[in-house]
Amino acid sequence: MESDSEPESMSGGEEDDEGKDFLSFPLAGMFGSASSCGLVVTDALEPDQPIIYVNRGFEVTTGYRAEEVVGRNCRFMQCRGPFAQRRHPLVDATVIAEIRRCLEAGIEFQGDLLNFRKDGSAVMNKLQIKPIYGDDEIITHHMGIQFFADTDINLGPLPGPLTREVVKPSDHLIGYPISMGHGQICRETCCLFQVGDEVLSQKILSRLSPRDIASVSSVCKSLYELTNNEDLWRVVCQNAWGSETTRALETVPGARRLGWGRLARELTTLEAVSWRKLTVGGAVEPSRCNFSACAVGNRLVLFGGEGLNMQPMNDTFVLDLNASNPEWRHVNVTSAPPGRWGHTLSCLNGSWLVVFGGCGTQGLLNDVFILDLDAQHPGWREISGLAPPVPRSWHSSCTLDGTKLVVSGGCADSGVLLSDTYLLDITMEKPVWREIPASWTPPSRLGHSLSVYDGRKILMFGGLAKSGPLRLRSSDVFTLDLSEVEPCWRCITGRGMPGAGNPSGIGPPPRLDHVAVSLPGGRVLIFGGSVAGLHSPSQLYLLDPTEEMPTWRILNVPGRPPRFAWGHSTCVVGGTRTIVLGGRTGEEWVLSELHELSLANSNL
Amino acid sequence: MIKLVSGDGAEFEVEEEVAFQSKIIKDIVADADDVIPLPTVSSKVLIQVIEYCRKHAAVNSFPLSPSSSAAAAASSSSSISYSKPVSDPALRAWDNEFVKLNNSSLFDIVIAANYLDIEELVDLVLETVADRIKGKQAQEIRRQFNIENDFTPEEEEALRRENSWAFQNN
Repeated sequence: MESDSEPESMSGGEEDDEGKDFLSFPLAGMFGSASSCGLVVTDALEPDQPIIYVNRGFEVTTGYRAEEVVGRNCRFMQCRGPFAQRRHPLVDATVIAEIRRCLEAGIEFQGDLLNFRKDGSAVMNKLQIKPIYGDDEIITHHMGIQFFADTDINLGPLPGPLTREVVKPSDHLIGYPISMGHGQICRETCCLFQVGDEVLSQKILSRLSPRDIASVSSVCKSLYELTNNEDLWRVVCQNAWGSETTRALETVPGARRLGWGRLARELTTLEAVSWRKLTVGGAVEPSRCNFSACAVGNRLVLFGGEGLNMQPMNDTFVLDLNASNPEWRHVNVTSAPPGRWGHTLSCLNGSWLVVFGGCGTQGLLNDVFILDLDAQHPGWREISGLAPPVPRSWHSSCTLDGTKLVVSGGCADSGVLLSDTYLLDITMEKPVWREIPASWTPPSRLGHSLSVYDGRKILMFGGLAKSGPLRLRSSDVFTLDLSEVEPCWRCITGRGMPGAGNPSGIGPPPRLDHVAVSLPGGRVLIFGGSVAGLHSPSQLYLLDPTEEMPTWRILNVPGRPPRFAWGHSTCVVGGTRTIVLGGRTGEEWVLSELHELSLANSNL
Repeated sequence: MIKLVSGDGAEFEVEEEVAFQSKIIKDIVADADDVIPLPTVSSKVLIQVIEYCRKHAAVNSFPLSPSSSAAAAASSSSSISYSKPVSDPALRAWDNEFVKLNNSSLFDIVIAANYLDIEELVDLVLETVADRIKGKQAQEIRRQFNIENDFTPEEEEALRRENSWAFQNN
């Protein structure tokens, strides 16, 4: 590219592409020492502007003696060492072009130019070139004033082929890279991961659903590898199902063995759902019905119920499913609440059990009792919630955020059905009941179910509902979003609603006292309860209220289902096991026989 | 004012509260000078990042802090708002417009934002990219991001079987 044919004295030839590699240098160190100032004078009237004078500073700094350079053009200093034939590629061509422009225009040049000492080492030349005019306005000489400074350019070994050499990438932030192309990395073949940062890639993937991850894994090999990650699947499951569900799933020993990816698949497709029968030891004595049961981790807790001659009970039993031979055990607890049946028992805050309402010897109740099962000496304690709802039984309850009890409907004094919804934050120092204000509520009812889905949304299904002057079994579905500022009930589907018909698949026959299980991903599984006619209560129905048009689906599963299943005697353990207690006839309870609906293979 | 120098040598003067949306710059300024070279960020990307920081600095500025009181006074509503940016619908709308870019630009921005430690911007872009993946089949994702399918037909068939569960009932 360069040759000695250049006409200009101190210029270095044409611009080329490498000239874009602009080098700039900190001012510090520019004036390293006084002796490093060089002075060069060239003859502007001679061809190729030869040097006619160099000072001592030039000789000291460059290593070239005056007699070696007088008579030559200055451009040899752009070549690395005395034997190089061509300008070094790191010499900035834009500076050379600027020198040439100034010389042609007859004006002063000032700029930084990379030069080389005789020994081949690089030196930065802070160069000024002044034209010197003769008598008749003709430039007769050029004077070059050179302030030399060391550079940290890594040129590599001196001998060897003269290839393009690179600037040493010095300190990350104060370094000066040669160039910045458009975008750091070529993204022609695969782009998602060309963010070049696995952490960022994982952060993108962790925002997706299990289905999306399955899609992404089929895109290309690198994405397949990236999605083949247990931690990613765990986060994805947690996003899809909520952290409470994933925490519950972690307590299931088999879940860990199965892996989150497999679990996501099984809980999405429900392909592994099956019934099985369990026999446990111990006994719940005296025998009873209309008790309430609830799961605390892998333990089942049973409280109260209706004994012989309608005797209200107030004892507490625990069945530890983690035990090698699980058996019912009576728990000695202090200050048991008054006996009752038709109450609700809910688990809050990890290990707290909460009892609300029901029917006792003195009639209906609206009191709240709490038991910390993990306390050293478990004891019931009454929570005097302010502004409580009216006393009731056969209401429905669920828990929200792990800290709040939600109570809805039920049967009040003289058999009046209720349609209200109340919320109590148990963790408050002085808990206050709060009625959820609603401009419209579903028809009053008892024996319905409440399920929490999608964080803070509640789904109400079925029950014995007021319908004009009658009370009928219902198959209506209503939802309430408690994350809204003004929550309001919405009817999703059901035959009881005017104009609703039932276009949305094969819905469950109307029923009350049934089982409702919240599945990961917001779906709700319904079975059991009191169903009219010849319908089998053991048939499973599935609804996804998060769909735009929620549609009922029948779920056929292998294994022998229980003939009866009641909501107040059924609970979900560890997110994957629905345990149905007794219920041989619904009248006579054999609590040593359990039916389990396993949602995933992991339990086996 | 703080001077930011992009990798291609362009200089940008920005107010402290704008530059300090980047935690890295905040740290650097604390123990260095006010000219900050950002060699890995091109001027094209830096312009976009500064635009984002300028908008968010104006909205996030704490009304009682003296350094940003001017910005708060300049904002149209004089009422004191302590709301977080994500919950500010106007800012969210602005963010949604901001990320209407092609994938390659988004990746450039997220790399720069990650390097500069601007958490909100990283989150915004990653969320946007994730939204472009959501609900799509493998073939659509390849088209969206210009990814080559490097599986053999046998591997692809095995994967299709393995992942068919995800697309039932859809």
